[in-house]
Order: sequence, then structure tokens, then C-alpha cells
Amino acid sequence: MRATRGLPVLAAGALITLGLPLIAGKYYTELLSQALIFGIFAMSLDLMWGYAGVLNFGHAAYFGLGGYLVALLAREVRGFDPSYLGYALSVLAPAGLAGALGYFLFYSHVTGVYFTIITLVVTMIFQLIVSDWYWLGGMNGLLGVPGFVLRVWPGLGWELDSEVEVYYLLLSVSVLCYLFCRHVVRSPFGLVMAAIKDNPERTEFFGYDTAYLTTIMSMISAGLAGLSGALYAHFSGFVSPPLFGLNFSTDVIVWVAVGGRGTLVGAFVGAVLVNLLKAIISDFLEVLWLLIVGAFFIVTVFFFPDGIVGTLRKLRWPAPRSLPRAASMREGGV
Amino acid sequence: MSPILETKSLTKRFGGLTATNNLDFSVGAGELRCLVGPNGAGKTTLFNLITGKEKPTAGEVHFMGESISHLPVHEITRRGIGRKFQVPNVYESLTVYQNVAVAVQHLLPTAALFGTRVAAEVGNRIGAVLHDVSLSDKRAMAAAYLSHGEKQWLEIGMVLASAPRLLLLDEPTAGMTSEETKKTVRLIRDLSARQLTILVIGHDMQFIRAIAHKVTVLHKGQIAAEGDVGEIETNRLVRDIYLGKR
Ligand SMILES: Nc1ncnc2c1ncn2[C@@H]1O[C@H](COP(=O)(O)OP(=O)(O)O)[C@@H](O)[C@H]1O
Ligand SMILES: [Mg+2]
Repeated sequence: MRATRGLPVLAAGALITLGLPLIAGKYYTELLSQALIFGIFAMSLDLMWGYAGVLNFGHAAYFGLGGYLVALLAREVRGFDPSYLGYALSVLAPAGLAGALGYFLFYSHVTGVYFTIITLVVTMIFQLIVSDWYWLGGMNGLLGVPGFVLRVWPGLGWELDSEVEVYYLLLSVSVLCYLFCRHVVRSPFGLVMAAIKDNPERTEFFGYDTAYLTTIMSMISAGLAGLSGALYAHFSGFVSPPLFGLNFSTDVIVWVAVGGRGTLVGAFVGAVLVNLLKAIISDFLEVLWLLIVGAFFIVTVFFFPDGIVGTLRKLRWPAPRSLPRAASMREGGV
Repeated sequence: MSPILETKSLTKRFGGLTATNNLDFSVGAGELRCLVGPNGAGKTTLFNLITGKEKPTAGEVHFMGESISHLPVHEITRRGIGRKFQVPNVYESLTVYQNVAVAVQHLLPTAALFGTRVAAEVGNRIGAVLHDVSLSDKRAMAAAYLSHGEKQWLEIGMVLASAPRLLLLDEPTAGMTSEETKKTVRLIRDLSARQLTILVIGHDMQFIRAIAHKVTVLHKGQIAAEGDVGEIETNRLVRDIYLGKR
């Protein structure tokens, strides 16, 4: 029932996302490509914030780590193309970091605002390190990261040199990442995460090691954030300390809140919409941009706490179908 | 009957208050036992100590011959102790079906949690439990919309679904209508007939009479009396405790 009703939305969405670069022109196609990368990043935050109920205020640490690893490999490695190695490391290193943080924080029952503050400190430490360490580029960052190459064999690769090719690559990666996340939140594991979010104590009393499971979720989230950072490094050609900045960590929270927390798709909607607005408005109202995005954020949070996607879903499928996503999982899926 | 659960000189102090006082208590395998006592007698605290929610000040809890006092809550649960809380404690934002699914799934290894589909037997088990607690019709409803009594049942069902060896029920009929209470008593006796060991905290004599099994009276963290319902009802000491004379 739900699937067939969603079909027109899906078809329209596919048509728009596939057709856009053909009419958008170079500037907007690149803007959309970047917004897709940010969408993957936002979706990784949504996994934790929307589905585990844990807000990470330093999520940019994972993004920056992924980006810097790719840029460092590109600079240091000679003799072979390290981009696939870079993707792998940019997933594994942030996941490892999240695992370590989870071990120290979730196992000591550090949650809520304390967790948020500690994650904030972690990303600020990263920012200090990359800003002050000359080997890591200092304030200038690291330049000269090569663009995307689809390599099938060491000597055989396809360089994506037009903005349209890059867009389609990023669109495909976004869809794959989305399907992966969708699987995670709809799997039995996703149901247990929904249970932990709803009532952690009750879940402990069913024999679940909630700290362990929350740590696994945060490792998945961090790995995905690291991947988006790696994509960003290849896309923009350079990385710099603001990737670890508080502003960037706040931006991603805004994208998720605007698009709809706990919806996955909302992460992309929020990232695209806010970045598009920013590009249009800040052209002539640079100073006002922060005020406008702030007001936009407050309006969504107060009047549409479910974000754009969450609100639309509620209109289409009123309660009790408008339970959290994992909660409306079909019975057969269990 | 060899004991499945034993507490040895179990003591729990909260500041100056001794909620559990040097308690030696045991329940035999397959037994159905009622635990009674006035408010503040230490009944819920005993459950907290058994399940690891509170750590004892002194003494130990043994389950199936092994000390479990040092284990975290989830590991004690995994050894087969299921608990229903005094206040209904269900997942309000999940559907009735999903509530039970969470409980059933804990039997799976972590890796299987990432599978697309779990064996049909899991679904069958959920169906059977929903039938046991008469919630089959409301399976698609969010638990938040259930009545108080239905939430109590749902939680009992969830605990059953987690396949415990020892079932701890903390005042399962609190807030139920007399009709609902009767049904719950029937369910508990049914479960007991299926070889499950059950320790149930009751608050009124009517409930205990209906369960009609061995009773332990707790008072100030100690056992004040133990015996059949009939004995307990006529026990003078127990009457005094309930009337507040002691
Ligand atoms: N976490 C706690 N901290 C302080 N005092 C507690 C705590 N838990 C229980 N108590 C006290 O221990 C005594 C026994 O409580 P409880 O076990 O809940 O009684 P019952 O369930 O028999 O009514 C009460 O006086 C209660 O106030
Ligand atoms: Mg109590």
C-alpha cells in the first residue's frame, strides 16, 4: 500500500535528480554535487541523532578526518593511485575513533548534553592540530587533491572531468549510501536502536548491551561521515581547518533539522535546500545570510519540529503511521 | 526442589536506611512464589538486587548455582531472568508487535540483527505471545495508545517473549480492573503450569489468595513469615504488620 502510494514521489524525484544537471548549468550543477556530499554527511548525523537519539556536536571531526586522510595520501603516496585506499581509510579511521569514543563515553553512561560537549571538544582539538601543524598544511590546508577517477586497473582509469559526470557519480554514491542507511534502520538492529532511544533501561533489561549497540551505530555513522569527507576532498581539490570547525558541525545539524530528523531523505532535502538558498541569498546579502539561516532554523524547529520531510509524511500518512521510521517498519521486515 | 535463586546474607543500605537486611531467601526451580509486604518493605529493592540494577552493600545473589551479583544488568538478563516493572515500562513509540519483537530478538546473535529477515519462528513466537496476552488485535497500534491494563499485559508478554527461566513480576495487577486482574491471575497460573519459575510481588490479599501458592512476607528488608496462603492469612504477626502495629 505504502509502496504504491510512494511511487509517484519516487518517479518524480528520480526525474528531477537525473534531469537537473542537463538544465542547471555548470555553477548550479557543482553546487548540487557539493550538496549531495553534504547530504551524505547529514544523513550520517541523522543515523545517530534521529535514530539513536544522540546528538553529536562535533560530527565534523569525522568528515574532516576523512578529508585530511585522502589529501595526505594524495600528497605522500608515489607510484600508485591511492584513492581507493583513501576511501577505505576515510571510513575505517573515523569508525575507529567513534569506537574509542563510544568505549569511553557510552560505557561510562555519558549521554545527553555531556556527550554533546565532549564531542564538541574533540573536533576543536582536531581543528587546533591541523591549524598549527605545518606538516598538515597549517591554516592554508592541503591543496592539490586530484579529482575523481574511476579506476578499474592500476593503469586503466576513467577521469571524471566534466561537472555532469561528477554529479552523476555523486548521485549514485548518495543513492547507495541511502539504501545502506535504510537497510540499517529497518533491520532488527534498527528496531533495537529505536527501542534504546525510546527506553534504554527497558532495553538493558531485555539483555541488550545498549552501550555496545550504540557504539556500533556511532561507528557506522562516523564511517559514513568520513566517506563524505573523502568525497569532498576529491570534489573540491583541497581541505582546510574549517572542515573541523564548529560552524560546519552546526551547519550539518541545521540541515538535518530542516530536512527532517529521523527520515534519512530529509538530510538530503535539508542540505540541498539550505545550500541552494545560501548560494542565492549570500550573493547579494552576505552579512544577512547567518541571520536568515538562523531564522529559518528557528522557524522549522518551532513550527515544523519534524522538518520538511517529516511534516510532509505526517500529512500523507497521519498517525499512527507517522510513528518514527523504524517504528513504522512493516511486520514482515522483522 | 533445588533452589534456582538464592540470596545469601544480602544487604542493601541507602544512606542510613537498610532496605534489605541480611536476607537469606530462596526460590525453587519451577516454583510460583508470592512476595508480599507493606509499602517500603523492600520488595522492589530485592528485585533491583537480583537483576543487577542495584549492587548489594553486602552479600550475594546466586542464580542456578552461580553468583551473579557482579554482572551488569544485560548479562543477568541473558542468563534467564526476566523482569516486569512495577510501573508499566513499554516502548510507547513502537507498535505492540515491535515491542514484542525487541524482546524476542535478544535471543539472536548481534550479527543476525543486521540481516534482512529473521527466521519465521521469530514471527511465530511473537504471534503466540500476543495471543497469550490477548493483544493480537492491537498489534499494529502504538503502545502509547493502550490502556493501563493493556500496557501491563504487553510488558508481561514482552518479558515472556524473551524466554526467561525466572520471571519477576512487580505488582502486575496494579491499576487493573477486577476483570483484568482475574485474567492476569489466570495467565500467571498458566505460565506456572508451563514449568516457568515465577516470583510475583502482590499488594493485596485477594490477589495472593487467587494465586494460592507459597507466600513470603517481607518486612523491613527481612523475612517476617513464609508459608501457604492459609497459614499466612491467619498469622497474627502478618496481620499486625499490615495493620502497622509493628
Ligand atoms: N534508590 C534508592 N535510594 C534511596 N532509597 C531507596 C531507593 N530505593 C528504595 N529506597 C527505599 O528503600 C525502601 C524499600 O523500598 P522498596 O523496595 O521500593 O519497597 P516496596 O517495593 O516493598 O514498596 C523504601 O524506604 C525506599 O524509600
Ligand atoms: Mg515496590
